[in-house]
Amino acid sequence: MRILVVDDEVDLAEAVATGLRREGYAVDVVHDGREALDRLDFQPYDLICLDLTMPDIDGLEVCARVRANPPATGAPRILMLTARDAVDERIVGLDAGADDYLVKPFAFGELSARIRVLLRRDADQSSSVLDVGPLTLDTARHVATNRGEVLDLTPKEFALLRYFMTHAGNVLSQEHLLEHVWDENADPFTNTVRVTVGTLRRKLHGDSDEALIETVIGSGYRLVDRQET
Amino acid sequence: MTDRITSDPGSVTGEFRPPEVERLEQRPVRRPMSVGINTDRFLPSFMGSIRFRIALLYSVLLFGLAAVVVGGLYAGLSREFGQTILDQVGLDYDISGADLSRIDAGTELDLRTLQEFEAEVDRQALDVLRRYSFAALGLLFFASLAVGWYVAGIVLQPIERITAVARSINATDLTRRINLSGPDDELGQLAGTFDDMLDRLDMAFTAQTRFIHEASHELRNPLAVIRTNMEVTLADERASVDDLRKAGQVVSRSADRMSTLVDDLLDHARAETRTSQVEVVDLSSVVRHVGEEFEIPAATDGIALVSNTDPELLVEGDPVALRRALANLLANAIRLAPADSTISIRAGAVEDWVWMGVQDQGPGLSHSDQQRVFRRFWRGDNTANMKRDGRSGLGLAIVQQIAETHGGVVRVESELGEGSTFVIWLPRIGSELESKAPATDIPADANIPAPS
Repeated sequence: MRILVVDDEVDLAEAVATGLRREGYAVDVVHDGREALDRLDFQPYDLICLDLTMPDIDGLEVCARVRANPPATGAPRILMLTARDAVDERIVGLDAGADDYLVKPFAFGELSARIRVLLRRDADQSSSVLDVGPLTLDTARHVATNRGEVLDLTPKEFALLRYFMTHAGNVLSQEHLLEHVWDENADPFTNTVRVTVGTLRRKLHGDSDEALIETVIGSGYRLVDRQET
Repeated sequence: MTDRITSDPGSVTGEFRPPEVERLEQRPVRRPMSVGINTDRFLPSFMGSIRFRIALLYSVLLFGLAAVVVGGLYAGLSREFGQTILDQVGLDYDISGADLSRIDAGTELDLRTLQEFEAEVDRQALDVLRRYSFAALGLLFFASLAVGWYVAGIVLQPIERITAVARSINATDLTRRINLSGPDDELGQLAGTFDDMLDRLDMAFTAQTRFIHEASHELRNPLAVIRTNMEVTLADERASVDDLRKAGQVVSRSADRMSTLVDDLLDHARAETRTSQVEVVDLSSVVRHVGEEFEIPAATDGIALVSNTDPELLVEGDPVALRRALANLLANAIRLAPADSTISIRAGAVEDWVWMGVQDQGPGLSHSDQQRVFRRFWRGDNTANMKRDGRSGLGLAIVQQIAETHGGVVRVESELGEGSTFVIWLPRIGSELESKAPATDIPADANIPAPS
């Protein structure tokens, strides 16, 4: 899950990014609307945390432009952040195409819960717990289990597993995974995706030879979505 | 500044509470139209009303007038009757004639008896007249009381309407108006004046609410920075000392920003209220003081500060506020001006106006920015930088307010890349301009003081 944080309050944007990265999201930060639109042109994001009041191009305009002209890489969810709490302003924000609205100062826990809810909508889930075959993943509590056994995962492995589980059965290419699970700091020429998938696979499979994550040669990887008995 | 905050808290906080309105709401309204003397302790409540008093006055006056007329009539008539017909006809009237014998044949009537008879008739006529007069006067009194009551009711009806609207208005809803229909008479004017006052109050309240909204919005941003940084850092059990230090620095930066903002908000609120500390101020000394104050900061940035004033530029005002206004302009200029440039602060007089201004060779302002530069919390297009500087975006708004509360204006003239000139115009002491709105009264050729 890749998130773009757009806020002209540098200290706030950085703190939000730090918190979200710790929760296993890939996070990029920009500080104005123009930069955000440039970024959205070539980079697919699952969600944008968008500040409403920014100089030059403000959040409303970014929102409206994204909605009017969705990027080729897919329309992201938009969570509007603002210091204005008047109802009118919320309505304006939601009308411009924001999916949700959060008033500053917010509790970070609430921000992260709202982000989970918004991302869940894409995956057609109704709760924060993902279930695929023998695997369960609680996005709120940050716990993943395989047949009831808690998995010991790094944040990146957790994020990768979550991405696989929200797209279970789909073939996901290395590039796609790099774009959605890693942020701009990842070097596209390393084999970081392959290595992380490898370690995740080892942790999932243990000693069993049943492959939960399959390699589709020439295309990428797929989390096998079959009902276990 | 701090001294003023502690020594004069009333003027600082006074801006934010509307005590008059609260008191009005709490005051019990007992009688719709009672004014003045508290008569309701021993009289029925309607007797305390203006309507009753008008009716009573009307009735008493009418009664008095009628009484005078009737009294005069009575007096005149009784004098007329006092001279009997027989007196007039006199002695040459032949009483032994057939006429009298025809009245009562066989009865011997002498002159004296006839006179008594006539006097008796007169007395009885006057009696009847008096009875009827008294009855009519009594009737008139009550009739006029009733008519007076009715007329007063009609006359006072608009007032009742005004009262009803006034009572229904509270601090949160100032949208109601009396909108009295009818001719533009005294009551129409009263209602109109009342509506105008409500308009002004409404505008003032709206402005106040907007200001509080903006202020809270501005305070929320640094607050959000502090809160999010604290939560994110504290939630990380493995946070290093460096992480904590970094978070601490962010928090301290935000706290600085908030305290600057709060100071400026207080200044802004203070500048809005008309200053109580009015004295004769010489702008040339204001320029000198502020120039000295900024000599070192300017020199540190490698900026040459040139000051030049005419003598005896007297205005009436608050010297602290006027110094603050010029200092805000100068601080902006010093922050934006490049090193090795020159800033001049000058003061002079044009006709009935005196001015003090700051001219820099900084980046200048675009035409559209010149329109917006005095807006509260306007920050130009590099907001992020400005927020890091910890500035509030209120500096020029404060300057404008100070100029306006002194009956003056502030003007800006700027060219991108050339620099900006900010000028505060104030009415010269004793000038005719003081009571007028000065905004458009400045001669065009004097708008930009000739830069040296």
